[in-house]
Amino acid sequence: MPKFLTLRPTVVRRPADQPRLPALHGRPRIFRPRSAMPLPAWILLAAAVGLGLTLELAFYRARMRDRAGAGRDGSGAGGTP
Amino acid sequence: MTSATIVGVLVGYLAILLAIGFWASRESGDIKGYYLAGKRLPAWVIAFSSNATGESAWLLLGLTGMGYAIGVHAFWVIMGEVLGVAMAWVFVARPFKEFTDRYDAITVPDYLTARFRDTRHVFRIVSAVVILSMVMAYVAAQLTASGKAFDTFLGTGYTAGVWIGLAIVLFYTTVGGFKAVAYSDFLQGVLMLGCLIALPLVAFPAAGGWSGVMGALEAADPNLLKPMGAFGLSVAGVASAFGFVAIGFAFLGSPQLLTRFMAATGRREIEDGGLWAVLCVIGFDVGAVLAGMAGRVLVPGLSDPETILPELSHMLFPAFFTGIFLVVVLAAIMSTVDSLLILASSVVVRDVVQNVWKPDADQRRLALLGKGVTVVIGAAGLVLALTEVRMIFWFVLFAWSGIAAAFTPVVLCSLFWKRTTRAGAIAGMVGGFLATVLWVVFFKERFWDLYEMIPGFAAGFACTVGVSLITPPDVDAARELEDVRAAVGPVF
Repeated sequence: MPKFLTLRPTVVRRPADQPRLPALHGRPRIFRPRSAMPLPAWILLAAAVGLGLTLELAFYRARMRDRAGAGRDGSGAGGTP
Repeated sequence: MTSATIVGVLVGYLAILLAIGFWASRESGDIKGYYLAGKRLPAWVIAFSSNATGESAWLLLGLTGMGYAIGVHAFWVIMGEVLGVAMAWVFVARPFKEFTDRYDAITVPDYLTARFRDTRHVFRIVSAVVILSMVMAYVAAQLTASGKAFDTFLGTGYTAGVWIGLAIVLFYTTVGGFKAVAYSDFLQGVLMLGCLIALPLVAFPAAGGWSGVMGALEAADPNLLKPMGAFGLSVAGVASAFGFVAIGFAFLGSPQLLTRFMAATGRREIEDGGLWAVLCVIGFDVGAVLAGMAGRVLVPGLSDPETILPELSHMLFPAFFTGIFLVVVLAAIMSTVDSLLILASSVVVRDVVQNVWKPDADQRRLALLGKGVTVVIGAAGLVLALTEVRMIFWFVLFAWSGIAAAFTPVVLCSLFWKRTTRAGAIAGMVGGFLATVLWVVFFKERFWDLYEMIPGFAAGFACTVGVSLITPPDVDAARELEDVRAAVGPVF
């Protein structure tokens, strides 16, 4: 499971001497990850790292597949020396 | 005592560089050995050295300063650089290597001359003008950074710092040639990566942890956590983000980076090196920006954000590690200066002297001349650094885009578009370079400060495509491209 799905909201317990906060009038509670960095910034960071890395990993896997195929054929043509 | 520790670390590092120079000197006796290390570099050396070359002192001082000054908006730089490096290794490296091996090319102008059958040496002359003019500005900027670094860390004074930096680079570059440059760049790349990973790992806990840093940044200025920064979703914001992304696209065709692909032992090294290169640039850039963001919390109110890295190293680490950080800043400077000096020297000796002026010159004399030219270009950069103002990163980004705009559109068209002609490629080089310079001089301020690489690339592509379409196609060049595509195979 991707790690971001397992993040739990921060639970802050109300001290006994503090008054209860006003009710949310039925609005759904907003769950925030532990980090205070806003979601758009996370998306940008993920895209910044992920786009190039995904491209390179796809290329690397294709080359490994080619080499494995060449090894099975016995041709030894897995890239030039 | 503190200074003695820092000097001790520095001396140890410099001794290693000099040893690399001596070790590599055996291969610098002929021109191919001096400029391409005999085409025998392994994957890991190419990967780290190309990144270390591409990421000068700008990474350590400039990008950390950006993280400090604009926060999350600097993530756009990460996107451009990671994507640029990945695309270079995935799409450009293999066909470029195949072509240059077929032509036995040593320099990028060598490749362009052979690819477009340029018997009049126009590519060589234009390349020499572009590379020499931009390299001098680039080297001067790096030497300026060297002067600042020595002065900040050791209090040597600016002028002495410039001299020391140049003397060390010149020694191992002239003695060891490209092999020394590549292996020292590898060492320097590893050092830079280690420090840029360690710095945020130490700085964030010191600044109150992840949530603490983010909370403090939001309290200081909410724009620091917004992807479009203070501009918001406006034309200026998009232009700024696009400009940051464009910084990375120079990785696709700058000659100082393409020579790494040429120097690889074979295509297999390129296939293996790409993943290392991408992981390395992610570590570099993410580490630099996050360190700058944590630095904003730890050292608020700096008048010059580009000094945040030395400030953090002094604040968070003992003297030994401060020495390591000085070494890392110097490593970033030297790994770029040495490659640029070798590049400029190769253009003069290989492209002008050997191919235009004296084709029958002796190999050993040419290699010796190459070393002499390396010293002369370094000296020219020194004069500029000592007389010119201390604007490091304006110079770096300008020279980076000037070289990239002249070469990248033409190299990409030559590798992927069969219809590219000699006239089109020459027009693309000249157009891309001139557009970069003219944009900076006349238009940049009036158009949202748009980074000059974007109009430079646009003009380079437009001139290459436009002129190619109105000139007769080169059937042999087109057939050759098909041969290379067949030899290289599909990307995925």
